[in-house]
Amino acid sequence: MSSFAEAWNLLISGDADTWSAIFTSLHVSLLATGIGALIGVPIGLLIGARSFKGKSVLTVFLHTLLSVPTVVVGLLLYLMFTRSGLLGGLDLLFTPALMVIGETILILPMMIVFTASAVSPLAAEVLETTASLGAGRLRSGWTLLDEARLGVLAAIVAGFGRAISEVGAAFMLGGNIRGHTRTMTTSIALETSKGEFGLGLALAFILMLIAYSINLVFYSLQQQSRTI
Amino acid sequence: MTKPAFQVEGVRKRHGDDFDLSIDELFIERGTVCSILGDNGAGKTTLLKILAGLTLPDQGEIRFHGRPMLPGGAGLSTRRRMVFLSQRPRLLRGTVLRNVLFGLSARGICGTAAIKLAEEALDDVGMASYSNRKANALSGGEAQRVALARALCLDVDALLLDEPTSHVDEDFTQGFEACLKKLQDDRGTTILIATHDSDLADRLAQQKVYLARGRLIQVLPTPEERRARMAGEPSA
Repeated sequence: MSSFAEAWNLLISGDADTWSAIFTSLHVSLLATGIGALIGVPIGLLIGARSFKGKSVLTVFLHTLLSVPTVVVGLLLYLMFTRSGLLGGLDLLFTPALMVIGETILILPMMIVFTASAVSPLAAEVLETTASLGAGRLRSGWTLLDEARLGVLAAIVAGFGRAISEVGAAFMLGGNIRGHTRTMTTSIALETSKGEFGLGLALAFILMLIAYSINLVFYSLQQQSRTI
Repeated sequence: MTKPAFQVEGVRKRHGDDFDLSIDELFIERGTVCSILGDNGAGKTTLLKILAGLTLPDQGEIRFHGRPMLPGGAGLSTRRRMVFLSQRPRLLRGTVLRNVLFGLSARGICGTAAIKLAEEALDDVGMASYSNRKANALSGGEAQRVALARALCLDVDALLLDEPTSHVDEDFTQGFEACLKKLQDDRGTTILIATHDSDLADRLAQQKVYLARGRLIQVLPTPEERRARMAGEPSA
């Protein structure tokens, strides 16, 4: 109970470090989710709706990417963006921008796979209907996404969940810099390593509360669109 | 002179392990009602979908109004000159009216003009009072009527119907037949109906195509009769 009280105190007292970690977490995960959805949903739509050579190989590969440890993505991007790395000149290491890139790469396979799974069972019937009514490819694709909206929303929610709860890549790419790249998860890891379990638990509670609130919004959206 | 709506030459299509659709020659006259008859699995739906440009044949050539369909399938402009109605039509989410407006909107017809056309079509199939109902709450027969209205409101050159009366009652069938006759008389629409109901074919069709296991077994009038008519000679 003391952790809940501490969490509450941290929130209402306007503790700068706590609020900065909350803001960075939300900023990085929402941006990564938005970019991931913009890239992943259309790719998932194409994979789910079309038949092409190598589709099963690609699908298995994407499923494999779902299991890639976040630290591996962190490590690869770290090597790429470190000063001596291929993209070191961009000077993005230990910035929120690189954290967004890392989280986007992490959640992209999930967005693609879940979207493809959502549209695939409907594709033949919906696309035949839209084509027979004279719709072009863009309108047909949009209609298919609309028909599979519940699954597509689930893909976006799952992507957000993975991004906000991730710690490995955020730590390696952001460097856990106080007030700059420290997120709730990296903060929890730090507080735990210092033996500050109370503060860690408090941050964990806040993280769960935020995740719950955002999922509640998505869930309401799903329920609304189910009845339309 | 008789003009062609569809000309089919040497079309082959593998259909799973069931059969190969194989049609050497088929000529469907413009502005007529043509029924495609055959038992279940005869290849009626496959033929209709190929003609509608929704399924690509493995080989062969199809001409629509004298113009070859693209090698990769019917182009969008050709597809917009016809409409295919499936035996088990899928209604899209939203209201009945939104469904009927879909094809109109795809053709750039929007606003009050589109709503008027959609409401007229719904009235023709006896579904005028359903326009604001949710499409996914309709029964099978009601859904088929709405899908029919969605097809009827489009000003197309060819209407391809797959077992259009399979889920609707007899009263509606009479109204439906009147609707098709009106379309044929007023707009000169070519109407293809895949059916196993020979009575429906007898009442409506000027041309009949019989299929069995993917092969044409009879075409009425016969190609000879048609050629004789086209040459201006009396048919035998």
